[in-house]
Amino acid sequence: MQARSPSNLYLYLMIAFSVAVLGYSVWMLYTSLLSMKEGNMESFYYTMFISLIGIMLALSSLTQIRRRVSILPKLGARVLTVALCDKCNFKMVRNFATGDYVFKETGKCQQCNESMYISQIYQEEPKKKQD
Amino acid sequence: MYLSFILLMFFGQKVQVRLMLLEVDGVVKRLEYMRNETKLLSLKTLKEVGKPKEDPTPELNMMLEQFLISPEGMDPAGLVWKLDHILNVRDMKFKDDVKKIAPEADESQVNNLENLIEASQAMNTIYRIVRHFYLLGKRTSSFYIILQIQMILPLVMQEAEALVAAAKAFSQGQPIGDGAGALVAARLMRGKEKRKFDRDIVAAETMMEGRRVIPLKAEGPGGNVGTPGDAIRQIIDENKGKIAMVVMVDAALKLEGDKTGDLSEGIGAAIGGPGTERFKIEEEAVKHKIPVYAIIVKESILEAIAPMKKEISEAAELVMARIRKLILDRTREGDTVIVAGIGNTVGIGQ
Repeated sequence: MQARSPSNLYLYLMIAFSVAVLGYSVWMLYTSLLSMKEGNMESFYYTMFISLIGIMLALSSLTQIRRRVSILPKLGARVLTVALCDKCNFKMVRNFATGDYVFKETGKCQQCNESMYISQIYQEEPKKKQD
Repeated sequence: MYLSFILLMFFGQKVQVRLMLLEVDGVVKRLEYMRNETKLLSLKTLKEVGKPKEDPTPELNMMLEQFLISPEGMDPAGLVWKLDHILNVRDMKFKDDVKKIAPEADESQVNNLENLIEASQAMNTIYRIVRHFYLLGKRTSSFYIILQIQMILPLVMQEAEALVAAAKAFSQGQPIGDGAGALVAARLMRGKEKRKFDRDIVAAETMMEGRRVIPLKAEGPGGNVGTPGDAIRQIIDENKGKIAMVVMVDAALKLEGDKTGDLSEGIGAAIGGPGTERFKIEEEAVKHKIPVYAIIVKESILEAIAPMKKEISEAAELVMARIRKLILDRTREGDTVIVAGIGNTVGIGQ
């Protein structure tokens, strides 16, 4: 049995609606600038105000959707195992393997041949994207 | 313009209801997907680890729907012991059921499987409750029924995502954030002779600044929380009440904005769950006038049941320093101190 992938109809609708509002607001911004050129200041202030509100709302909605979509991939983060030598403090970091647990004896130290133990198992923080 | 105003006035709420239903529908489908994923993971792990001779799916389905009826509270006298009894029966039955469908699994694997199925069970319950409100709202077209579930959707999703992460951690036996307390106790008892207590608790004896320290935790590395209340009671009784203090170390939920892995110190029994263990510790502490101190490691709900973060793992060292300071400040040389590492010990030995 394969788990069915969830439907994202609401998400797509929200994206489409936000993009439509954004496009319309940008067009209104353009018309407001045209109104200013023609000297129709009343129309300029009115359309400028409406278009800025539209742009803000659409961008806020898109950011919110992006945040919601980016939550799930975080769950697949890498888990690391840190093995430490009791004698010389030699530290070895590797990927977690099934059967690992904290304070488990895990082979000999590469430097002093003493026994090593797992001192830490933790989830690696996903690297932040460079802007 | 006027027409759209009039239309919105009459049909605005209907449009809002449709939009909310659409959002809840998306969440229900996402939850169904997550529920199926955790169930499949449970099934796969059961087959890999337990090597059952027959297909465990019907048994697993039954376990996912298992429930517990809390004792009647109209007469509260003795309520804690009734609840404790029900929880004990439930734990024993659940473990036996897991053993039946995973005959080849060893003790710690059985504990991990038990936790994994519990995570799937919680995921199943969340899905069914959200689906219930969604279908009820759809059938009645009631704005307020749909609003109730739509308002708490972000919190529900947060919990569901945490459960998926927990299921993955349990299936592989990785330490989770809740194990912060167990990690501290394990550090204190490493290399010392261990003594087993009833219901999956281990303790050891060590010296710190001239004081006799008895650290205890649930027996690892399988997923286990044990019954530290019973073990603390037993240790206090064995020492005829001559315990200078009890220090409890546990992971606790942080508030938004708090830093993960930060410590807080307080007074009282730091232990979650249904409250029976806390009751036992408080009863015993009051009986012998023993001060109970708590050190908590801050983390979010997702961090508590997802694989342990580096900040939480490194907080163990800071907790050790706090315990040392507490012992120096509040006890004298030759005193006996209990340090209870509370939390799920999955992936943490001793």
